[in-house]
This record gives sequence, C-alpha cells and structure tokens, in this order.
Amino acid sequence: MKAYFQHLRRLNISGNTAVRRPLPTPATYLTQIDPNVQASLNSQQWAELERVIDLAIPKPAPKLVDLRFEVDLLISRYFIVLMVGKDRRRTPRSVPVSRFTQLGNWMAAVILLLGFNLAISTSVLMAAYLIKSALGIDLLPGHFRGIGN
Amino acid sequence: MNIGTILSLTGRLGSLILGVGVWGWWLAALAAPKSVVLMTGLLLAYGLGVGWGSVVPASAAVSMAIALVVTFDIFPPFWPDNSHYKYWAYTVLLLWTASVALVCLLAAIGQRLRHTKSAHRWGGRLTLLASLLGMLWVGARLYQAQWPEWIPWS
Repeated sequence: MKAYFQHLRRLNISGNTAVRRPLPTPATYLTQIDPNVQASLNSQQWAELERVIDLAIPKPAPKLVDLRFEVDLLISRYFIVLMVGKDRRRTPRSVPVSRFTQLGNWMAAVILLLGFNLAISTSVLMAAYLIKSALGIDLLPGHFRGIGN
Repeated sequence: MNIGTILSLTGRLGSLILGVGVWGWWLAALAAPKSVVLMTGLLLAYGLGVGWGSVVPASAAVSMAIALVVTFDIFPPFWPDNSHYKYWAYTVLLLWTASVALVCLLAAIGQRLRHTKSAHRWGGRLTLLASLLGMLWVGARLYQAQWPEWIPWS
C-alpha cells in the first residue's frame, strides 16, 4: 500500500514512470548550436537568442490536482490523468480534430467518468454501510438478509 | 543487494504468500464456485505479470467480490446465526482492506520482477505464481480440515 502511494507520488512529481526530467531552459537548446557558430555570437546576440527561446519554451501552469495512474489491460497499457488548475490561456485552444472525433472523445469521456463515478460511489456506499453496521447502528429494525433471501 | 533489501523482500514475499493462503481459506469458507477460484488464479498471474498497472482493475475486481458478498448476504457455514451483524461487518471490512493491500503488494512484487534481468524474470514469475497457487490450495485444504481449531465448527 505504502509502496503504491510512493509510486503514485513519483508519478505525480515526474509526470512519467521514469526519473524526473528537468524542465528545458534556453541554455539546453543553445548548447546544441555548432561551437563555431557559438563563438561567432556576441553577447548581445546571445542574450537576444536566449530571450526568444525562453518565450518559445512552454511554461507548465501549477496544478491544484495532478493525479496520474496507469491501467494495464494486457492488450494495451493506458494512462489516466486528472488535472485541475487555473486556466491562464488567453486564446482558445486550437483543436486539430474533426467535429466527429470531438464528439466521440466527449462520449468516451462521459462513459469513462460515469463508470468511475459508479465504481467509486458503490465502494463509498458499501464502505459507509459496513462501517455503520460495524458500529452497531441499526437504522431499520430487523436485518436485511440480502437479495434473494 | 544489502541485508535490508533482502529482509524487506523476504517480508513482502512472506506476507504475500500468507495473504494468498488466507484468500484460499476464505474462498473455501464462502463456498466460492470454481469460476471464482479460476478468476483469483488469473488475478494473481495478472498482478505478477503487469505490476502497478494492475492495481486499479484488480482492486475493482476485489471490491466487486466484496459487494457480491454484502449484497447477497453470503455467510460462511460456521458463522453463528445468533451473532450480531456488526461482527460480520467488521470481518468483511477487514477482508476488503486486507485484500486491497494484498493487491498492492502483488503489484509491487510484480513491478519488481518486471525490472529484473530477463533471464530470471520468467523463472521468478512462474516460481512465485506456482507458490501462490499452491498457497491458495493449501488455504482451502486448511478450511476443509477445519483449521484453526478455535473456530466453533459445529
């Protein structure tokens, strides 16, 4: 149990199962320039390049909720991500898929959410019922003998 | 591998094998059909083979089995009729929690086996799976032999 939560924490920090990958900086890209070209750049050009590359690097927004886990169904391995955070985007997100695909995505997401909701609700209700029973609280007189009894 | 790692691994394996034995005992006590026993064997193989990716589906399967026990009010034959339902509720809660913990332990060991050298991986998996299935059988046999003795069998 403890190991599972440690694994989840590691997933949540790093975003993948491997070790944490550092966020790229302008220097990450500038070091890849040919050394001869690097030598030919003066400090002003270097600073300007750094500024432009810094603008191009995506900045991940801090997340209030960042839950990631994987589900391996043998035929394929899936990852499930739940993120909640403040939306800083000023322009609408470009969606490079057709309306039909978008509709399919929505339907799949709704079915998945309903499935998760059903599973979690059943577990919560069952746990609540068992805890209530374990505490000896009898809301209705007589014990319900289960379906079919 | 240092002594701490070896002790930790031995403890985990011991707990896993013991836990699967308890599963076998309870499956026999609840008169689980052969299909459920087969599903349990497949679940063990799945957890060992897949690692952490098996936790969510396997926990869902365990929770579903517990939901069936609660919904259909399935009791083991030795459970006294005049006993308050709260003791059964405690037992089911304990069984549920322990089973989910066992699923996580199985996944942790499965994940570890995934990262071992390929020459030892399959051997390790098969040996452990055979031990777990054997323990499932031993648990059921212990129930049939009416063990432990402190349970009011008659």
